[in-house]
Amino acid sequence: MFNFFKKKQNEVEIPQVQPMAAWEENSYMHVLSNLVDDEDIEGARERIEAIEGVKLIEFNEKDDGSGNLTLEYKGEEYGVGFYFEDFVLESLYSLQNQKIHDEDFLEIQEKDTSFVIHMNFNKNYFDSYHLQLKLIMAFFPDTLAVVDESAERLLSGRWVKLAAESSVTPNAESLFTVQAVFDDETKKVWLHTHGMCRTGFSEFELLDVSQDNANDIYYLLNTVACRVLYQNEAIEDYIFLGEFIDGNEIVVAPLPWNVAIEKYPSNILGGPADRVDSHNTNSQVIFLFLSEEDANNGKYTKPSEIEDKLIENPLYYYTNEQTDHMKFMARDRYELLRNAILENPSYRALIKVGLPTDGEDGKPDYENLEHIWFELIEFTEEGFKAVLTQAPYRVSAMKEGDEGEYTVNDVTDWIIYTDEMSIDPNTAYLL
Amino acid sequence: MELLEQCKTWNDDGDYESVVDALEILPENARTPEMDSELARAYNNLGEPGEYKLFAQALELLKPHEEYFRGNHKYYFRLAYSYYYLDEDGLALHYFKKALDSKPGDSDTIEMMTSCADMLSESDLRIKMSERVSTMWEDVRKDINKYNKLDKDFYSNALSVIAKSIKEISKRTDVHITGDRTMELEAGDDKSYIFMLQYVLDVMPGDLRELFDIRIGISPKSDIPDTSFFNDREYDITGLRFFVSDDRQIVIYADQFDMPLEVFEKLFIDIFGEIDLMANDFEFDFADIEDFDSPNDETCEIVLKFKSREDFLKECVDYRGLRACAEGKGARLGINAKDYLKMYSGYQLPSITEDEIREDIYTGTTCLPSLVSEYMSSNLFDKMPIMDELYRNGVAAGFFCFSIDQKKYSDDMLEYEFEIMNLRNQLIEYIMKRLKEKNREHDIAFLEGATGKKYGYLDFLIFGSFMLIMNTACDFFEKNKIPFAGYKTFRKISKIITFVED
Repeated sequence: MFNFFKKKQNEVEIPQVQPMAAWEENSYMHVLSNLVDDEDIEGARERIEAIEGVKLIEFNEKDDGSGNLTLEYKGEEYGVGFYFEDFVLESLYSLQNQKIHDEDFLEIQEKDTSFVIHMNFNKNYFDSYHLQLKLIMAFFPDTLAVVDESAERLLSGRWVKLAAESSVTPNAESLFTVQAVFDDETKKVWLHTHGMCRTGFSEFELLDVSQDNANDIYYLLNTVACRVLYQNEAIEDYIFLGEFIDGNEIVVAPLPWNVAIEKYPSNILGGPADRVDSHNTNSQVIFLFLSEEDANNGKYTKPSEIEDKLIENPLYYYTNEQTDHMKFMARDRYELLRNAILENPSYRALIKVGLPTDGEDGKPDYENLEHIWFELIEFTEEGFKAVLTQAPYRVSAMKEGDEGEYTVNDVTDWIIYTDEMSIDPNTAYLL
Repeated sequence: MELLEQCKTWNDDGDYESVVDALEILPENARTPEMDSELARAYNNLGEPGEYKLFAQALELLKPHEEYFRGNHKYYFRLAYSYYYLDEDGLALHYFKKALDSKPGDSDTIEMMTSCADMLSESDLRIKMSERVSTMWEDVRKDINKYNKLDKDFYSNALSVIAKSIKEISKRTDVHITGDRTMELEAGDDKSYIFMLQYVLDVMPGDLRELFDIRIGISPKSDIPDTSFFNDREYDITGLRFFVSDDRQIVIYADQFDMPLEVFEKLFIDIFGEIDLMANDFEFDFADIEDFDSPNDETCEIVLKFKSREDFLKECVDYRGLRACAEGKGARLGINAKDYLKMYSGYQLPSITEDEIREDIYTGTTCLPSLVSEYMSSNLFDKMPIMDELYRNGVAAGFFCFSIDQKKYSDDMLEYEFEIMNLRNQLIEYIMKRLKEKNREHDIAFLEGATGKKYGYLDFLIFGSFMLIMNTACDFFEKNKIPFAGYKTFRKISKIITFVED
């Protein structure tokens, strides 16, 4: 039957939502290195074959250095394409949030050739992304930097090396970036992700956020994207993301961008005028349901309408997958922490430890751990000694200031404070 | 060896029957997506070109797992392969491209893509609508002749035969027998269906046409009850009120809405009929008591212009008065399908600097806006539902494009546009004359055309006589010494088939 509510029959119109570009749908990365300058991939095949867990099925290289390969990794078959291309560093990438060493950045700016390596991510996108980084390092062990075109982010070669060599996949935040576009007149910000589409999900956005609150409200967007990636599940209608300080639940309900912008004035940043040539494919704008009644009536609240609540220490839930991932990465890179502290005794380190909580029967509950920050005192033969920095909620036997000795198997996160910066497992390449 | 591994080995060794034997006996829910994929591979390999059954079975196995196999080259290749041998070249190309993205540079995939693109460009092999419809009517006549005309059930039996045959040839069309000798064909969800259905009726044998009245589109009803049923629930529609604006916008008002959209759809079809609804392209909005008490972002502009709900309701009618009210506000009612197909809309595009074919258009008219929209908004390898459905039915949707000596008109754009229009009209006449001579005048529907900076365009749907039409057009362009002319389908991937080129 003709659905006249949905379809206009008698007008030529271009749909607002456009198909995704290749670099959005697939993962495109541009590698910069001295070997890339020489267009030299000699030995790459052998290095790829040597990657743990990789079974190279096919490797084809043309005279111009372009080619493709097929391999098996963790039970999945992957196809990868590659070619050399002229390169100019876009100014956008100098503003990225991943710290690049100054001397590296100077070199990066000089580069005029890149090696593009592109592939399609499968449902195990963490593995896909990890594999792409491993392949980059196998092609060019001297990788200086990588432009992750799909996420519009400049990656330090040192980070790529660390991530590629790690037994743990990069975290969710590595797969996407959050960009902020500012309007100096209205003092509003449009926050949006890049890089999500290649995982099979949509990008996410926040519209009309105040500049003053953008740094806090950023976590709403970041948490939504992470949640989707860790759960490997798109948001059907809405999800529970956490709690406001008043105890009410934070319920996120995204809408496709073309539907969402109808709810805002047409002249806002991220409005129709900004969707003509870009940001017009697969993206959803975040709204909230403030009550069950709102959810039932489809009453969407703009985050900008409740900024006060969103900046007042909202509690965003972590999924088990997310905490597990943090834990595995912290343990995987524990030796980097240890070496850094031993070499630089002036650095301060906090280590998060999972403590068994008080069980209902009075015995320790090893299933439900409370993750608490300890300050490192010293490393021991078995592990480390540390002092508790805060009072636990559900571990009655311990109080702030208590000392304990733990092993790497108790670690769930860590952070090092140098004179200039703080470094966590994900940014351990800075050590 | 596990069953899945064994099936992979059998498939690799070409022992497809063993895969089928091993997996077909498993209940559907006992097969994993990987097993379905291997079984589909076996069906694909056992299938013979031209025999659709096994490829269709493979497709049904694969389709539900698209998300599961995201980024999996083999999955996409198998899916595309099934589509390819089901003659669904547009969808095959779409999935072969996905297969290529998942295995860049794969030569087998590139070869299949090239074949798809060739089929989609030339397409004369696939234009079978006229053959199918002609065979259908021949069979209908034979079947009807089996009944005795004097039998009291003759007309109902004959109508059943026609209904069944139309349903077979156009699977997505719902057929309603509305009287002893009358029948209505649902219009479908796009105007392109109406073009196809009209073709079916246009070539209906004269003797059958005299006996039966078959119409496209559900007709309006004169006796609409106060209640409507949907999903076994009864809805009272007497409380609904309707406001009709001068620009064909209808606001549906209820104090509170508790009706699904389907109830409104049925009601509007009952009031206006399908063709009038499509032809008038009404825009609909909803308003309830809340929109007056506490208007919000969602409240429609018409409502906001009223000071009070009472003022608004004074201007409204109930469902019994809606048809007359709409007519009074300028809606064109009582349009039949044939007239609707001739209705066209104009469009203008921002001045485009490109000279590429169809990318240079700045103004045009079309009787099938959805087709033009789909073409303009698509990328090379996108799914194109309207084109794919036409192609599936054996209809070629494309356009002639031609250039004229621009130097002659460099100072006078109006003259240039006039000459383009003139050539278009002459071309239509020329083709129609030739088709009439062959008694095939229904085999093409002209859809209007467009004017570009460099080329003129004449859009069409071809149901049959493809080569005759192409040869006639070529003949026309040669005779008129047109410097460049060709034909292309409404797909960006398809190549231009050149008739003449200086």
